[in-house]
Amino acid sequence: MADPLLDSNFDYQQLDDIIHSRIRLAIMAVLISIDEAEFTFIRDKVKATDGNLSIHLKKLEEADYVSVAKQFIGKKPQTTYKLTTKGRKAFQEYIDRLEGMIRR
Amino acid sequence: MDNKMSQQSPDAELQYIRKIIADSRTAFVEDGKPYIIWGLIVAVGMGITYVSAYTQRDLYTGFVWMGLVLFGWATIIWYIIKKRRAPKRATSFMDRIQGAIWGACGGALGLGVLLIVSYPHAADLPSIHPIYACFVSSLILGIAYFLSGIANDLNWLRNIGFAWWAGAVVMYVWPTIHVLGIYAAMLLLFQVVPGIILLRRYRRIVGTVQEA
Repeated sequence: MADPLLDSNFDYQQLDDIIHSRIRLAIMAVLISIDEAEFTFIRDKVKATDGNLSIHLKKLEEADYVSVAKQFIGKKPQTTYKLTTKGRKAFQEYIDRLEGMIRR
Repeated sequence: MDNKMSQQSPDAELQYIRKIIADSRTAFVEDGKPYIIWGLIVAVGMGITYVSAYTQRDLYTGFVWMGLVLFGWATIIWYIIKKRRAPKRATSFMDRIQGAIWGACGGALGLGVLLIVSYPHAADLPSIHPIYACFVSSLILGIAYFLSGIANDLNWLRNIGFAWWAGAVVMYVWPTIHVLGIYAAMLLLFQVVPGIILLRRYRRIVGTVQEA
């Protein structure tokens, strides 16, 4: 019996390359459920290191899937991220495609 | 790390996404404390008012209410300050909706109380007679619970709204002095008890997230 978590017939090339990475998918999933989140909030939810998370957030930012806002709360810098309309649409399409694969 | 995802089935990916979304939403779980605080305060005040009216004895209800409301506001302000001081690292639309629901309903109830205490002949007005006030505030609390249950995706909390509306109907068709006692009991059952359930749920969820 095939492992349900491993399906060799799953053609992942049909999926959005930018989202189809464990960390980036997790970031998108975190941001889709909320308005905006601080860097440390995403880091804790995604369970990634600061450096690794920064790289993946940068990729999402370059694709215009997330927008970033930097501000100071008192003397403390705060960086918050939120999904853009394009990112929200891309994530929805990604989910639709996954669900389409399951129905097939 | 990137390649790991490509080996997973669509099912596993969707499960993973659902898990992440559910986990993120735990940051906005209600702790139920304001429900318990206000529920207890108003239930005690209303209970004393009921006993005073029923036994025809002066139990200094005016002073009791003044003390209880001041204590209530002091506790709520302390709770809000404490919550705001804690680092808020994410915001959600549902969180804002939740605040708006209770802000609007609490504001309407607060405005009613303010009008009553600021008008010297308030007791003579039928529109703000204690029985009528209990009826109106039950309707408002019904709205607050119904919407709050939908915002939190908790059917049992939404159904508490129906309980408040049912209580309002009873108060309307049976406008006796016992309405005050009924209202006090409803506060304990449909305000304090839901608050305790929310608090226990909050502790369980936060505990689970911290353990993970």
